[in-house]
Amino acid sequence: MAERAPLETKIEVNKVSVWYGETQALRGVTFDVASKTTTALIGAGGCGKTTLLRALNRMHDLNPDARVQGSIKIDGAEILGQGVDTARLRRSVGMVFAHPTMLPSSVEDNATFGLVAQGVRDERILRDAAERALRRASLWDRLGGDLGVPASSLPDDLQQRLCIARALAVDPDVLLFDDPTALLDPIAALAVEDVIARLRRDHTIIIATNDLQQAARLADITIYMADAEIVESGDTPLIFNKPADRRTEAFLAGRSS
Amino acid sequence: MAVSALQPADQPARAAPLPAVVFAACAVVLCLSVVAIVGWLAVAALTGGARALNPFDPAGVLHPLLATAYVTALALPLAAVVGVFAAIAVADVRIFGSAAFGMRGALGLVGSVPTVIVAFSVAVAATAAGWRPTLTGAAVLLAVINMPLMTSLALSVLTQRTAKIREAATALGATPMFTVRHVLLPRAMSGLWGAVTIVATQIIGAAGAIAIIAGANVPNSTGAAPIYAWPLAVHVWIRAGAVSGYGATAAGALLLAILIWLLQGAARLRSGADAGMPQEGR
Repeated sequence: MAERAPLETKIEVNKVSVWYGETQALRGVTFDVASKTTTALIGAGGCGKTTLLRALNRMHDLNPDARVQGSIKIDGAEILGQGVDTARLRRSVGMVFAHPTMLPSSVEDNATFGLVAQGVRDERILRDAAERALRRASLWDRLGGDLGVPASSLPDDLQQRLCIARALAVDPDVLLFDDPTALLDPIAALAVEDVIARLRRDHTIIIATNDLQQAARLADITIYMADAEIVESGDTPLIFNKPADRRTEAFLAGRSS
Repeated sequence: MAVSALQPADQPARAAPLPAVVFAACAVVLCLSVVAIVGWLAVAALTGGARALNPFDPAGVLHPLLATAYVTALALPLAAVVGVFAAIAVADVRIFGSAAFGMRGALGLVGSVPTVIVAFSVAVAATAAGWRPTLTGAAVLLAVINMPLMTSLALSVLTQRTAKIREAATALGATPMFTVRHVLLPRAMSGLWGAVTIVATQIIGAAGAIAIIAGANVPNSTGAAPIYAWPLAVHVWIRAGAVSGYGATAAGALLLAILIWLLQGAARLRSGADAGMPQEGR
């Protein structure tokens, strides 16, 4: 069997710790993510998955009580220091949350919000970008070209696809998904998962999920976290079939370690 | 497609952010005020005859009403603009950095002191400094003492159930100011109008009632005697002559303010502050 060619490193996370006030939510996490791969973060609730994701595009800046230490490099550039253009960083590292939050406007305005925030004003460019993003999120055909409807009137799964579309509209290299199907019924969840699966070849994806089957289906690499630390990481089939750590084995078997 | 398209017009109808009961109470107070004024006008017309309604007579009704309108027209925009901008600054610490924390503390401190104490202190200081009271001065004073109220109302409107919207906009690369201008302000507009209305009732209540009660003492022009357009307690306190000197009254006001700050501080310590943990999964 031919060996897999070494992949270019996209994200380097080195000894990253996060505190909320006095509480440490992440302890010295270190790992690399190769370009155009999909990495799943799994672990029990409160283990630090969301905290880790939010560190990757500086969303902790929104929380004055959050403090981040360590180093995160994307394409070799440090993102945690002073002087980083966080707006630009977030356009390059898109994020989709568990709860699909619609901006109070139409589908089209939601889809192009990131571009407008970037300063794009040309109607034609915005419309083309909206169509392209909505097609990639498998939403264009469902809407039948009617982009003027209020985004909040869409059903939950279409709202989540719209969240994906508006993240795609600014053409990010990296996509972070924070349990994107947590609030959806199984059929809607599979539809959203299908959209994510089709984005894998064009983007570097990190997905935090509580759905182990979803992690197994989507991820090339799986990272198991517990107690604010990484317990084990590796190729997804290896982690699921032959975990090296007994805590991983216990978690996958549904036992407390 | 409009660029500034994040207008609330296409949102589903939702309840006003401020409790309807507050608006209802304000409406009732305004209606009662109108009834009282009309009644007073009728009585004045019957008893005082033409004099009460003579626009050139200082003892007439026109001057208090004009004084109230002047004070309100000046004080309200000042309080509203400063209050909304202060609320924006405090709403997102990233806009003004650590200055927002200082502003939040200062607002809490000023807002915790009853407006009558603030007005009294300023009135004493102004009088001691030999400044001649004017209606413009009264308007500025009323604007200042209503700024904490305006800020807290605007802040509650701007931040009510907006954490996730702010988060979504930020994740799409929007700057804090862009998020405020294009998402939060359009969404909060009706609530902000409600806040301005409440502050207007405060200013009209403080200025108008005293101006009408003071009656003939209200000046013809905007150049004199606004002390009567200040809150009633200030007027009574200063004019009562129960104090031996401005130094003593200023010290008394300061003592009251310190006492109130201490009690407020103790209350805040007891209520405790959240550590700022995120609400979603970690």
